[in-house]
Amino acid sequence: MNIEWMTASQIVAAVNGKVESAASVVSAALNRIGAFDLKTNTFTDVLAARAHETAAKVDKRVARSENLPLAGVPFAVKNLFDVKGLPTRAGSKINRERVPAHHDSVLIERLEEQGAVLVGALNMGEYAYDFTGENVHDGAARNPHDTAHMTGGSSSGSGGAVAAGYVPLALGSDTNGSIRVPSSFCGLFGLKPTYGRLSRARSFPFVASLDHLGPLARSATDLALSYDAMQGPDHEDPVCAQREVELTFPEIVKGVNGLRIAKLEGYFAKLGEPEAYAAVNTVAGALNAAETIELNDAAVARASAYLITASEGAALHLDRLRNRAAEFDPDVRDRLIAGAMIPAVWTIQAQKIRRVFQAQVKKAFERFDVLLAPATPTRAPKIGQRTFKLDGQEMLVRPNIGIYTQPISFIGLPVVAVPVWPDDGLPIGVQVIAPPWREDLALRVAYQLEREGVCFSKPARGLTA
Amino acid sequence: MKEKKHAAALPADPMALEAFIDTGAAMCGLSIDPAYREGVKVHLNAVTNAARLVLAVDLEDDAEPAPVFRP
Repeated sequence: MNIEWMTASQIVAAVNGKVESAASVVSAALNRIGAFDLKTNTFTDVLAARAHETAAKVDKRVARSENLPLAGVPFAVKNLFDVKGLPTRAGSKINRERVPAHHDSVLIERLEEQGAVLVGALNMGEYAYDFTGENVHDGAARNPHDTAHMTGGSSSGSGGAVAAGYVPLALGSDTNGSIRVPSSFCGLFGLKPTYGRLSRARSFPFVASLDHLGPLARSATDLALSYDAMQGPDHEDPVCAQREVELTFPEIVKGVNGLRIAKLEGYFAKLGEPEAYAAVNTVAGALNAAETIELNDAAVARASAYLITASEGAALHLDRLRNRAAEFDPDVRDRLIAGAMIPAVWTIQAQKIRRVFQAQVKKAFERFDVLLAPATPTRAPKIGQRTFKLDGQEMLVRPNIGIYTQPISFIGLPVVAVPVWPDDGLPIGVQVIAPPWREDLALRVAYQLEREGVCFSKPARGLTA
Repeated sequence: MKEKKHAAALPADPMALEAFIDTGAAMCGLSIDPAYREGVKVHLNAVTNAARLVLAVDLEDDAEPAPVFRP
């Protein structure tokens, strides 16, 4: 089998079983990045020397008969994660002047401790305020399944690098949908865990109230493996929950029997292209999920997330907007300036609504264990496309790609985005949504869908020598 | 969620938005390059539309905001 399309769990088995060395796996990943990333523009920093060094250490540990849960798995991170020796640019020009990070972010440390090997940092939308994957400074990341199309953002390089077969695993961040959107556009499995589940320490923030970190991969198993390696309390992130590790990997094989699964209707069945609903129906059909439920206030929830995002984002960047506005990506800059003017009473009301909506959704989870919704209203638009038609209405692409993801992350629910392929063209994702702290349920459903061949990631066709 | 009987009517008049940009920017210490103004207006209009939905919700006096600071 070609190493580039091996999943993380297959690599782990090969390296722990001494069929492959971590060194050879990492070399293959670096070669592939070198050969093809000019077409996809997903990496901003390739860390070859560091990766070779780490891989050699992994091989030594394996030689000492250590059984490492992530032995030899090459991975890359959105460039808002601190990587020792790099200024954490977070997709911006301005941040390149930052002092290079003294330490890796906590999640990188945790993955490498278990045998994974960081190979580089990835392109992203500026300061994570983006759903497209376009970036005026570094250029747009390109969808490996069709390079004329968006990867989605803001974890654009994370989606692109995994779909291109450079790495089986990447980390991204998700404030309003930035893991789930690229997963949908690039045909991947993506996990946005419960708010507070994974430490955000030593990553560049966007909206403290809504920021999450998580993995993207080409299989549900790889999400579980990497998520398990990253869990656990961390005193450096005040939001990180004081919860012990709750392993999901042993749970995913349990199947879906006994799980009560429903489709979200109402808000989540409007404004999308027919394939968005068809994908949900495909998944629901495979799971025998015939029931539907409506979350009455999803539109208010989304509007609240919109205000909190604009307002907190502006507060974070106010001094840079004052002094260096010309150096921002114009699309990001104008949104942030508008956000700076939001009256406090608007966002305080939005923060109160967050709790009211949480209580409403809790009731839905008394009836159901898992909820299904589209991940995006369309498949990946073309790079540079400014508007699209949703339900006959001409709408701006940039702020509206996240209409289905935003109400869910607003209340911090764990979600696995699963990929569906409507035809020979581009994929589209479905959100598998679970109650807080029940990542295991969403991963069980995703694994079952993968096992039945309903959801899967495909090798990108255009990227061969 | 319950809707207020008399929700705050945010002005839809474009001139009100223009005036808000001027005073709002000044109160944040921001000077807005004329070239950015149209973009800012588009986005301020979008957040104002979001605020209309949010401010129409009738919350109880004891509704707690979501973030909790634990000393």
